[in-house]
Amino acid sequence: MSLPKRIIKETERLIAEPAPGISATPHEDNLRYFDVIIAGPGQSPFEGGVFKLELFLPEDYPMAPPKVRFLTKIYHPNIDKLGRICLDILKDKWSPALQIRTVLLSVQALLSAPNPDDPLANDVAQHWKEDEKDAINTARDWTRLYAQN
Amino acid sequence: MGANSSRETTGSTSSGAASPQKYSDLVDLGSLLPCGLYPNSPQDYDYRSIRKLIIDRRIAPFYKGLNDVPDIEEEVQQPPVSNGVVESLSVPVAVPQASSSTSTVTTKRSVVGRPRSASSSSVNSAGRPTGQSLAVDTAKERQRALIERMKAREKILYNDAVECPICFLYYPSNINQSRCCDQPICTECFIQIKRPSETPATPASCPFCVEENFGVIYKPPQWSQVFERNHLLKDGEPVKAVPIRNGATHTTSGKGTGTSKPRRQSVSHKDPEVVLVDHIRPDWNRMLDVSRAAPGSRRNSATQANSTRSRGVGGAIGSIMTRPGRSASSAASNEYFVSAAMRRMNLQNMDLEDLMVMEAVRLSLLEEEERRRTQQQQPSEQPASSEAANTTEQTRRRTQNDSEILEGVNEEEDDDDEPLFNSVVNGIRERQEADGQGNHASPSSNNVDTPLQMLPASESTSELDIVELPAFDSSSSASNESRDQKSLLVVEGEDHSHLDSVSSL
Repeated sequence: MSLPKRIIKETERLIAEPAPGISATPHEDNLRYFDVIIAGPGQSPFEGGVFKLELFLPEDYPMAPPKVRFLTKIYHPNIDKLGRICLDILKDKWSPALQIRTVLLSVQALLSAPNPDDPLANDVAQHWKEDEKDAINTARDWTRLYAQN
Repeated sequence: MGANSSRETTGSTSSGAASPQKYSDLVDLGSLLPCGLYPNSPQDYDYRSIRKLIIDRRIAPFYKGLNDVPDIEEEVQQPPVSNGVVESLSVPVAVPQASSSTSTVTTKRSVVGRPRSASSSSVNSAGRPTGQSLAVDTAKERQRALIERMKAREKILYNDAVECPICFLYYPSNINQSRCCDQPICTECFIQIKRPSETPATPASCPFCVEENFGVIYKPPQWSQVFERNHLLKDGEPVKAVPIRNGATHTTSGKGTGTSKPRRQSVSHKDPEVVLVDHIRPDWNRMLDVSRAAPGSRRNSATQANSTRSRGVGGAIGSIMTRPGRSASSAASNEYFVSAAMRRMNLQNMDLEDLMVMEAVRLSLLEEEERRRTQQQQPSEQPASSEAANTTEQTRRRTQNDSEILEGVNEEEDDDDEPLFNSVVNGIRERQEADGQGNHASPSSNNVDTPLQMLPASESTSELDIVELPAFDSSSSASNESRDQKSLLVVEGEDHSHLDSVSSL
């Protein structure tokens, strides 16, 4: 099936003018499947980490949101063990006016601003709420352990 | 040439450079039919509502979206009347046969007497049912002037193109604007927006600013046929020099937006000018129930939407279109018949009655053919596999294309001049061919086979549809099952494999 023009244009622009700290590369054999790398934002416990994600554009994209998942282990209240992300725009708040770029920028922003009140990983959220400092330390450890090399 | 154009007016099968036909089929130079940007989405909107909204100038027509910003065309002054098409138009005035046939057509149209769009009535308005050649002369003159004007406009249509922020394609600047935040959105994207399926009680929100009750406003351009009626009286006047902002407006690329006009203030969703997404899904409530009851694959939901729509008034028609028991070959000639008939018809004046008559004729042809076929063949000679159906299907396509080529001999200009329906079908076909031995089920391929699926959804439920659904969903394995049972079910199985092969092309 031929790729919708929108996906082609988005891909071209992502490659031509990548967002700072974000790269997204489509697979050669499946142009709807992207390898994504997000650099841990500064002043966050994820700083210095390089996080791998996968992003898939379903058939009804952009009417349906892309599917995004962390492949790199990360200690974050809104990201669970399987790398699934709790982010409203990836679910009911999706809008076809959003793009791959805006989605990845939102994920990057989520790393800067964890939201333990809307958790996906319950234990992590609990940790974050009870002892934020300690939770942040764990997140830093995990970043060093899993997201650096 | 005179004979040629008279044939066109009387609506023969000629699909030559049918400019008059073309321009009266268009609304503000856009089409009434979508281009198929979203082949995988369920077509769960009510096509008749959309058509009416377009004709009433309440939403933009389906313009062709361009991949890139088009080169700016110079605004040409009104070309001299030596243009080929125009000549051919002015000749028939002297041919009595042509003028009389024209008046017949116009008379018949005014008898129908239902509100028509400006484009067709501007053509008809002068053609009073008197049939006097003088009146016909004036009508021709005006029509000629209108066509000239539209042709000139068409050349510069995309000069101030705007990018639809959802499909990223470039459209004429007069496409819809969101009521709340004044963002452009093409009609093809607009009809994809709907209430959230998880929370159907919540109205759809604006994809741009997330305001509730998403709706759009369409402002027909100053050159719209709507305004042409008065304009036409001053014949021969060159295209009104509407100041045109040359240069495209980009919405998604981050490139500088040409000249940014001040943003219009938000308009209430209750404003009569605003078209909401619910307006094109009058039965959105029921639709959502249906989709919840049977989620299934995407292909399923597309199928479901089709069959839901074909119930009721259209029920008879709808079930005929997906009628079990037509072999690929018999379907071929009949579908060809319908598409030829569609081509002859002025799409804007196409009425449900017309459709039903057309369908009745088709049905009787179909039945006749089937009868003949069963007489010739033994019942055991049913095509054995979906592969067989597949080959027949391909043959059918080839035949159909050939006959179109034959028909298109008269065409002098680019394919833009193809009649509307023809070009839509061709477009879909080309896309399919481009997709190669495509492996996805695209609803648009169903479109080819069932041009009438744009029928309204109505209340009554035909049992036939319900019976058909499960079998349709299953793949060719179902045909094996049902082949064991003779008679109707056998045929049904055959039909589904045929349909499957169509959708997998």
